Amino acid sequence: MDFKLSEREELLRKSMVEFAQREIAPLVEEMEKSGEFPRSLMKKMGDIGLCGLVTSPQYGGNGMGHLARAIGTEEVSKVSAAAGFALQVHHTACWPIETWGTEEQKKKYLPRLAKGETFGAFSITEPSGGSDVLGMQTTAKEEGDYWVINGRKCFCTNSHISDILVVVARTGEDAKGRPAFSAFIVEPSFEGFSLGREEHKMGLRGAFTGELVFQDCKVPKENLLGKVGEGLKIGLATVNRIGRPGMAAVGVGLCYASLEEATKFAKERVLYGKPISNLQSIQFLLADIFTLAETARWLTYRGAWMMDQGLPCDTEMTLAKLVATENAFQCARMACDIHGGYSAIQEYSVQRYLRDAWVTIPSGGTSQVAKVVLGRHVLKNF
Amino acid sequence: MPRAVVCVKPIPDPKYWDRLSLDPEKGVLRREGIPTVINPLDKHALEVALDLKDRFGWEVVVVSMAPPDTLNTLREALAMGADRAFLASDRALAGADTLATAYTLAGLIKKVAQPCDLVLCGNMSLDGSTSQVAPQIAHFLGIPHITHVSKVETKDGKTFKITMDLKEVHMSFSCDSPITLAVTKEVNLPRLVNIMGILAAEAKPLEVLDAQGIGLDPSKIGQAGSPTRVRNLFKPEIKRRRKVIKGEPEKVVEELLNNLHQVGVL
Repeated sequence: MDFKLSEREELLRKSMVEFAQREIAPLVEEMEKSGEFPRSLMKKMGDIGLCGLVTSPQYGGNGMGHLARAIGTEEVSKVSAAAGFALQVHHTACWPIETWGTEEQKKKYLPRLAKGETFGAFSITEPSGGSDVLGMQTTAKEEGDYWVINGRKCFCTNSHISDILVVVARTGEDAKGRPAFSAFIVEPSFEGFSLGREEHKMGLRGAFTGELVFQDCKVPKENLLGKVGEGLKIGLATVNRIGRPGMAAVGVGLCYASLEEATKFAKERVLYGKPISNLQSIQFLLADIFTLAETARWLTYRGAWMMDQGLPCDTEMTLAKLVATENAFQCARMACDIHGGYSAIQEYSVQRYLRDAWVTIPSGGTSQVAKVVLGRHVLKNF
Repeated sequence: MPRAVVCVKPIPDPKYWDRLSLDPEKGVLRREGIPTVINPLDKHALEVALDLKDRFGWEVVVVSMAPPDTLNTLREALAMGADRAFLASDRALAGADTLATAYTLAGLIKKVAQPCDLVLCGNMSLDGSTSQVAPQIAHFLGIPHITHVSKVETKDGKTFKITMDLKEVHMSFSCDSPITLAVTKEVNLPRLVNIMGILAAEAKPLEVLDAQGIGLDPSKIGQAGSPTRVRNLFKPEIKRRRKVIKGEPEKVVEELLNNLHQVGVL
């Protein structure tokens, strides 16, 4: 068992730290105020290679893989969890297209997605609920050369800025009479597609979240992703293997952001004539943040490493996502405790970490849904 | 193909300098456990070379003298876009002063990168701050040099307009290659390492050579070849001074002003 990151991964982390400091840090304040993701940033993330991490070189990516994606998303999220969130959701459009797409679809969509020239999103959740996938109401019917989609998707990250959306809709029933679903690649220019409301979130404010509206939306037949009836498989695999580990990496970034800010503040803040880092009560808090951050990181890296090895890892990814996002909130909470009254002041970033961490918890499935998955795994395997 | 050689020095990451300590007996910094990074000004030097590569198709070769555990910094230079990298590493090179270092680097350049049109260095290293190595390399190579370079301009990649920034006066030179330039941070903004560069760097030549392999004269390298020694390494003691001036307000103010003038505050 080797826990040492390779020279390649260490260099990746170093370069991503520099990238995030130079290109993202100056944008954070404006992203918080406007609630918008600057489109130019996705191009910069493409130029540095972040957008193409899970796309093969033959389709314009660099294919560095899932552990690299975890490290890159973590370092971006340490500076701006909203940017990390937008990036990881972008990958949820790239990966299913490469995994299930036709050669024509891959050639048409992946090179520009991998370079950050186009923006991607993935959408399953509907107003009726996200965890109840089978209760999905959006339908797609075959009519001539098109699939005609009707319905509404909500809580879609990158909604209002995306050029390519991977969407799952109900397309009938299977042989046993259960609802059957299919996946589609949708472009905003397709007739019948429109954007609905844009959500104003308490955290991850710099990433767009909103509604997609389909009113007799005409999707060309060649934009069916995978086969008819494979939509649920594609949707769940994308959530499990890309969405959840991506959220885990955002959580890890927030854990370490909290650790660094809390430690810096504890060393600088003087009370009773000494830095508060001298107080054991503060050291206990720092130790707790460190423990939670390390736990989150290594569970996330393990899942990503398993994915790179081609091992089954849905359970490990769910575990990583549950732990990393919950820990991110706990770490931010303790960092706020250490900051005392300053944690309520907007100039101090720990309050942002707390708000951001809260939003990561239900993204990609609530903690309770994750526990259902893990509970079933335990009952089956132990 | 014209060729630029960039001299790169691995130094302890300035982010962790609060963890550095002095070894007064050996007269060196204790660097254990502190990651190394490319000396920041050397990245500016590398950017000058990479710009010539992008615009005029130059080859960029990176050279360094350091222990073998600093190879990652050369890999980073390759990831930025350099074509080949060479590390002079040998226990016999330890304890080198600026002259022995320059002799070693010049020897390495002669060995692996001849002919060479430009030698580029950072104007100084953050940990040594001597600014001597670049001119000394130029001496050993028998080519001219310009230090404090804040601007490198060329329209054809053959003739250069160089601006030397001495703060109170700027000097402008027109020159041909070969020449050695020592650059300041004003010269450019170094590019970031991208992921495609990291992957490409793994296939680029990165070679470690010892003193014999380079063909260096043993009497001119390491401590043996160093005419200068660090006599003492110490941390300056900074003390607060306190003086109470009493008396008539006008005289107190006059004495206060005199005192402030004497210590150079005013």
